[in-house]
Amino acid sequence: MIEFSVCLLLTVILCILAFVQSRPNTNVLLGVTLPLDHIEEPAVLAVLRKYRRNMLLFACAVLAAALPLLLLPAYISMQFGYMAVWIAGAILAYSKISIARMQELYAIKQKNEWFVGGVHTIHIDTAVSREKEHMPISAYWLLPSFLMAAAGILYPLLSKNTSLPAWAPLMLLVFPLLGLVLHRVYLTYPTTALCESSEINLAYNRVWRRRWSICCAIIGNGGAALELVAFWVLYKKPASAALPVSLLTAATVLLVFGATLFTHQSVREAQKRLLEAADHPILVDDDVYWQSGAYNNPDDPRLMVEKRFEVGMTLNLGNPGGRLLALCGGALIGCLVIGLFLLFLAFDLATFAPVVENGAVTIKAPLYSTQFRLEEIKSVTPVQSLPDGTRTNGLGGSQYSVGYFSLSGYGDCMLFVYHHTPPYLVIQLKDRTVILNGQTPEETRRYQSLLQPIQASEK
Amino acid sequence: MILEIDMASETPIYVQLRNQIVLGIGRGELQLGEGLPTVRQLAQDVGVNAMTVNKAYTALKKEGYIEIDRRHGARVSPSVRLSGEFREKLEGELALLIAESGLAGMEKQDFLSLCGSLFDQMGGLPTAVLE
Repeated sequence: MIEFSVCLLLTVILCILAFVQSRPNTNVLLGVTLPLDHIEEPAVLAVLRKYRRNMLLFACAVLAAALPLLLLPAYISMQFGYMAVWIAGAILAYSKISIARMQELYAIKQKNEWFVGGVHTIHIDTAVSREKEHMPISAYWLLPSFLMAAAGILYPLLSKNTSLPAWAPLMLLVFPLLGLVLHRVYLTYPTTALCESSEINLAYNRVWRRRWSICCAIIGNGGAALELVAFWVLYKKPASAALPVSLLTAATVLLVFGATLFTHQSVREAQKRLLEAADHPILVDDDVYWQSGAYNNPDDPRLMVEKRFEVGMTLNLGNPGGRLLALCGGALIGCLVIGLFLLFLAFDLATFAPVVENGAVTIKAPLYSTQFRLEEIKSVTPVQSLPDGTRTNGLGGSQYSVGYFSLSGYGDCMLFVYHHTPPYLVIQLKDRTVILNGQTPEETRRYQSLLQPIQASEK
Repeated sequence: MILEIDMASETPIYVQLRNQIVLGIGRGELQLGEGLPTVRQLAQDVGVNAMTVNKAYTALKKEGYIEIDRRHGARVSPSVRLSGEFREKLEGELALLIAESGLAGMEKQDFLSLCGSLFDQMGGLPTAVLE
């Protein structure tokens, strides 16, 4: 169900991005630079209508392709593998459609010779260049996010609360650092000379830097606050943390996406008004560098440039550093996806049968295992159901749960359980609790007899 | 003023920067005493190493077009004086330009008329020079 929700969310995001892309960005439409007075030409509008039809069909097709996730057996490896393939396919299809319509529009532009401006020329307004560092809001607006992260990191140290792994609170630094890095990008990004008027150029650049730096502060502080609340819930009420943490995670995603989209639209509207007020606009036509859909300009020393499609920044593949980052990023994602798939497959194929050898009991699972002596067992009690709890360091799916959990009534314990096949054996040790069962009730009873008589004879 | 840098040109970028700033002063687009971006700011905007911009600024400072101080950064000199060294350089460059123009078929009167109209476009020059 989670995998289907991810696919649904991604479909919605891609549809919103397609809608944003179908509206002109100053004089750039579908990634093609056009003279302002030709943007409403019938040939151009025909391509735009075709793009919208394609995107509607795309949305229906990807949603239909996601439906099998609801029917697939609930094995994590299968669901994850299908979802990964779906995501790759959806992004590829989206890119193909966008690039095809862009190339079609570019062909119309070439046929009609609707070229604007120079290709290799950079225009810099000295007045804007001088003032650019005063345009974004101060980085000190991110200070609250760092203070919140510090509070979250210090709390488990001062209260000696070890319910979460020691490295977990460091995740609180993600949003403050992200906000700071993005603020730096918007502070140092090259200025744009829109026209001959320094007044309009100053306003154009100020709008872009100021509003995006405000967005960074909102994401940095908002994200840090939501993360802090999630951590507080995990520390204070671990047994019932699943729902609130899920809601807080969803709220964080909405905050980031919503703030970014709102800022993008607001900046675009303001810049469009300024462009309309400009008497002698300086237009740059660098469509030739976007022909593959990605920016590839060996003469441009910038590592990252603003996207033509969608929202945000993209790498310059003409820059050796940009190519390296793209390659490393792609390789990292590929390794991560394949690695996770293989890990989930190992979990799906593993069994948690206890092995008794020389008085030592070993229960093994991928990444998680435990060992104890028979004489450490205080009791082995079969139960028909397990109480609610939260995962602290493990894997919890609809078929099985493995790892460290915190359950109501039992506290911190290790689980090696298959859901929906009770009973579950609650093994009370001197210092901890392990809960185990087999894939069938018969298997569980065999485990119980393996452990019980030895424990009973000791008594 | 708007600086135009052609990244694909054979002319080095620091030379383009220097020439653009001198033209800007001459045309009045940069006022005498007006501030210029710092080396770091301009390097970020052009997308080149700071040393390239530094080279341009050093040349402009040596030629007397700009001043650089730690507090105010770079700015156009309040006054620009013609040096003997500059006159020699001008004579050499003009000789070459005149030779090329003559060989291309340009008449003396046309050349002088063209020079006159270009001079008139330079609104940033001191009035004593324009008269």
